Amino acid sequence: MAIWKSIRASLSGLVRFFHISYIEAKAEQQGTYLGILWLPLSSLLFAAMLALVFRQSETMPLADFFLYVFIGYVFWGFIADSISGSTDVVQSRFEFAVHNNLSLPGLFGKLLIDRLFLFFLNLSPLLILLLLLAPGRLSSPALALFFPFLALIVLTSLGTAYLVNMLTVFFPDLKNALKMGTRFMFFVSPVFWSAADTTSGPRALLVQYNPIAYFLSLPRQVFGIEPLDPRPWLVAAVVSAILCLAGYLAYQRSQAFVRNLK
Amino acid sequence: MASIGIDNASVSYFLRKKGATAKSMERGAVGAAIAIGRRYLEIAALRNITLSLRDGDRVGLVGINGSGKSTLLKLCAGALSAQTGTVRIEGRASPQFALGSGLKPSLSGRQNTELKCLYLGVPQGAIARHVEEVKEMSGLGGYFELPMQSYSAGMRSRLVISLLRLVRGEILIMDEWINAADPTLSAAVGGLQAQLIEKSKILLLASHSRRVLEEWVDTLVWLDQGEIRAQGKVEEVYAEYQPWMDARKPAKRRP
Repeated sequence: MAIWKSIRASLSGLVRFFHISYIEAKAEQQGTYLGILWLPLSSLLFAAMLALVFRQSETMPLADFFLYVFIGYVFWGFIADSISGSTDVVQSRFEFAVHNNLSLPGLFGKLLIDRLFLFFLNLSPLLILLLLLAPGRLSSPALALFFPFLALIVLTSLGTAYLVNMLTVFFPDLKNALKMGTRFMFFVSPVFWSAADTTSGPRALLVQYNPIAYFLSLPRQVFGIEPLDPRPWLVAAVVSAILCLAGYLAYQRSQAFVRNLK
Repeated sequence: MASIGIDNASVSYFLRKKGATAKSMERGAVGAAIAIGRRYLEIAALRNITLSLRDGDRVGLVGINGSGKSTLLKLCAGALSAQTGTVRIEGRASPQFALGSGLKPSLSGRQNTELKCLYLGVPQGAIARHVEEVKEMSGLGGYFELPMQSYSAGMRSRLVISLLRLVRGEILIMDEWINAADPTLSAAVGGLQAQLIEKSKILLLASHSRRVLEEWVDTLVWLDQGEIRAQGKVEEVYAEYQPWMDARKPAKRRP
């Protein structure tokens, strides 16, 4: 009974914060006819454009390549937000958070929920498309990996966000460098080009040594767009563990002064 | 039970050095001294503060600008950390540092109220009722649906005051008492403030107004250059503080 009460309180808190994200996202689109629908629609249109322009192989049908690009692009948005949206969090948003009963970890948790809200919102057209184009994929056993995938990205995103915040506090030039780096990573990661078709040349190196390439493979495997392969999961888990440990150590060592850095 | 225990705490702000720092060393009439570190400017805002607050305490802070009042409030709210000494806070703190803090100017009064309800833990089923109550109490009418950035200062304070009814804190921390926007709100505001204080277990209030302090607090802490200069009953502290303030005022020019 006590466990159920605790789970219920956590779920209620989660719903509450998703509701906050919804209100804030809706407010950003106020005045438009489509409102919040613009968010998934713009992702859908941009992914369609990428799939049409950058399809370089006949080995994958266009519909499959579009799904490949779309899930990659949606998940890339989550990764990019975790990095570029985490600069100056403590310095610019903590006072707002304190007025709303949020602690320092609570503030990073709230921003993580914002990112997850956008990710889920953008995923919704994918689910509809899968139902229409390839309903068999939604009954695949790989879909059971969605929750481990979610746990992995939640922890990685939290660790990354705190590390980015701390790094940009100490080295303000990194703010611009990270923005530029995130744009650069979009092109050198297999978001809109196929990793499977790349066997040699610089792209092969990018697939092999770029950790984002492994992370991008995870949702594609979950939704049956790529075959199951344990290697990306293993690499992502190791990268995630390193980032989480580094983020945790940074938090432990900085919480005594980070709020006083202006 | 709520309590705040501060033992020999010192708090500094750190600012990244930008350009020539020599001018930053110049002392003005207000504010703590600025020390130049290797990479940061350090402002020692509070030094060796020891303070113990328990259930039922109503404490006011006085001091000139830059004396450390706001820093002490932020320390008690958990918005700042102490570099030396210890700070122990038990109970939920509810800070009100400035009019409109914690609200988003780009959102409407309704959206800000909904968000406030969600942040402050109002049950989902009761949010709609609370929003309507805030709308009615604020008297904003159609403006309640417009972005807060389109409000006049008076309208903003009406919304903030009406939102006070949502505050649920055991420790109430306020930087300057919110004044009523106009006399028509005075009664409602006075009632809300009294309710807030009754509900809270500890009140910590910084103000320059002797009238406000005498009305709401029992004990006064006088801060000067980041240190506690005097502490005691309101009238006792004012007996020292007022002559000191009068002496600081520049002599009136003769015609």
